[in-house]
Amino acid sequence: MTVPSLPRPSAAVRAGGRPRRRLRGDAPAAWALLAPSLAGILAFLVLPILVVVWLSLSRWDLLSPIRFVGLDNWVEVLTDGRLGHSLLVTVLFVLMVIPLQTALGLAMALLLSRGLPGSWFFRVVYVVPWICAPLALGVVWRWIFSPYGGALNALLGTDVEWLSDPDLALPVVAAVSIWSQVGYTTLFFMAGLAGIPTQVLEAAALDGAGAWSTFWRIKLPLLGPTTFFVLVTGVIASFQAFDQIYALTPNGGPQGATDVIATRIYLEAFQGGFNLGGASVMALVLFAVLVVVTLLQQRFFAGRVTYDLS
Amino acid sequence: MSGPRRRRDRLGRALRTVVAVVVAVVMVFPLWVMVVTAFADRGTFPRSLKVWPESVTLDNFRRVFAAWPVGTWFVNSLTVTLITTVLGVTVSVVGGYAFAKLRWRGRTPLFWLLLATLMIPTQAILVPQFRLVNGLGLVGTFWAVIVPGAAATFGIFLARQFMLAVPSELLEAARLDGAGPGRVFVSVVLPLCRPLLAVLVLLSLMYQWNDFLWPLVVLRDPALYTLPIGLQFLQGQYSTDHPALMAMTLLSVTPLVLLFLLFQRWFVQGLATTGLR
Repeated sequence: MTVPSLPRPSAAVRAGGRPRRRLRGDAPAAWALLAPSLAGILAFLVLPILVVVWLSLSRWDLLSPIRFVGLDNWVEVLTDGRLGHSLLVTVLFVLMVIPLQTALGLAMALLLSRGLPGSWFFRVVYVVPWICAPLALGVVWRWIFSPYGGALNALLGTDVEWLSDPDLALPVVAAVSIWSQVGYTTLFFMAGLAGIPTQVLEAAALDGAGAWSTFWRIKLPLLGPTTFFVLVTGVIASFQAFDQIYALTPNGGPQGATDVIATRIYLEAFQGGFNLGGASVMALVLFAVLVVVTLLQQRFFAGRVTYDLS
Repeated sequence: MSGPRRRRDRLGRALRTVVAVVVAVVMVFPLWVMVVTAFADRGTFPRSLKVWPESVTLDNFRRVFAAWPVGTWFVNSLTVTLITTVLGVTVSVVGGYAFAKLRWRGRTPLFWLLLATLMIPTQAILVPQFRLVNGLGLVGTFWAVIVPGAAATFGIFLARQFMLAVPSELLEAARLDGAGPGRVFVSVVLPLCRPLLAVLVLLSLMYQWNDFLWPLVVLRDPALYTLPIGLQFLQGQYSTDHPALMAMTLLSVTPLVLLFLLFQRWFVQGLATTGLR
């Protein structure tokens, strides 16, 4: 296939008359292609979400009949301190995880992008922790952080209670989360870097651009769509983080130090009171937070992302 | 190339290798612990963890296999994972194309609806989802896992992001030659998307293979259990028998690791070999 010459303004094509005609032309194909997935999404995701909205206005313990109570759950959940505490813990967790996970993933992908000896080996090793189920590895991590005979204390010569100290539990859990998620960001940045046309990099090298300016001026801007994807999905995943946190510090951790919102929803719905109404309210609050955060990210990237070069 | 420049290059390369090795050690350490423990002798196994194997035995694997239908769990996992992946990847690629490269009314709001479904925590919709699947008569069959699993919102999002990077000019050219949207998809877009397919297949296999909560809720019958449910079950049974647990964990992660070993070449070649760039 011929290589399209690079600085070809596609705006000229888009400004022409054809796109308007195509608007109608594409619709039947688009709907036909999307029909199966839309049916599934409407039935298994949108419908249950609407049920959650309704449950947030009802009292239900899974056994007795559902009773409509108006805004009672909302008032109750929004006025007692549990949701606020959980939101705060979750935001702290996300702030610890996302910047490091993204930056490390990018750094590791860059490290491997310039042919190291045995780079296939490193590629596998960096991604494998993410491939392995986080639940399964919870046991291993509990040993490593064990205060008595645990590997970390043995290594450091300390006797710190990593998981039961309220000040340490959240950073430790965040570190484990970064360890298991960084393979994901690395993988996507590797794919993104591989997609940068070599001509662009060669042209930059000919113009005498060093590694530093090539990264900031060329690679990073061209990685825009990848970064957007990695950030949006990473932020959603860490706002919803549950499995690993629960495996390491059950029931919200020491003094609720790791009582992230997903744990709170789980405890509210399935432990103790079976308060499905309250859990639904919390889920919808989390939902609203994620919509706002995703919109902000989309705003930020909208002006900066370069989708195609040609 | 001049001498000092070359020396600096070699130094940089050495430095990068050292950093890569250090990162690799950190990444692999917990997994190494798992492997060592899986082959450790239970009799001499202390409660504290061992970094270096003192002896190697297959007893832990024999013990688990003798007591539980691990083979059945493995086949169940394989069945559910493969069918869901075929369906989910098809839906994702086709949906991603519709969102990225076709222009139609309602594209943006529908895309946001798609993103929105990713933002609700699974624990919250578990009960309504269960009721629906139960109402459809699927509970207690593999279809209860497969059908909702094929509604691959994440996959469509990923495919859309990837296809946005496919230059529209290529599609325009095919359009000018008189090809319809379907034809453009099959003969222009699909051949360019091999790396995307690799990523989607890997992600789907991984997610379905590891999925725990939903299969646990809808499969119910121990004869239908998948490996993660079996593993969790063993964690209850063998809470102190760490070697057996680790043997089972090793068994369940090995197929995915092998798979990634095979797939990783796709990322090296990446988009470079698709003929586009």
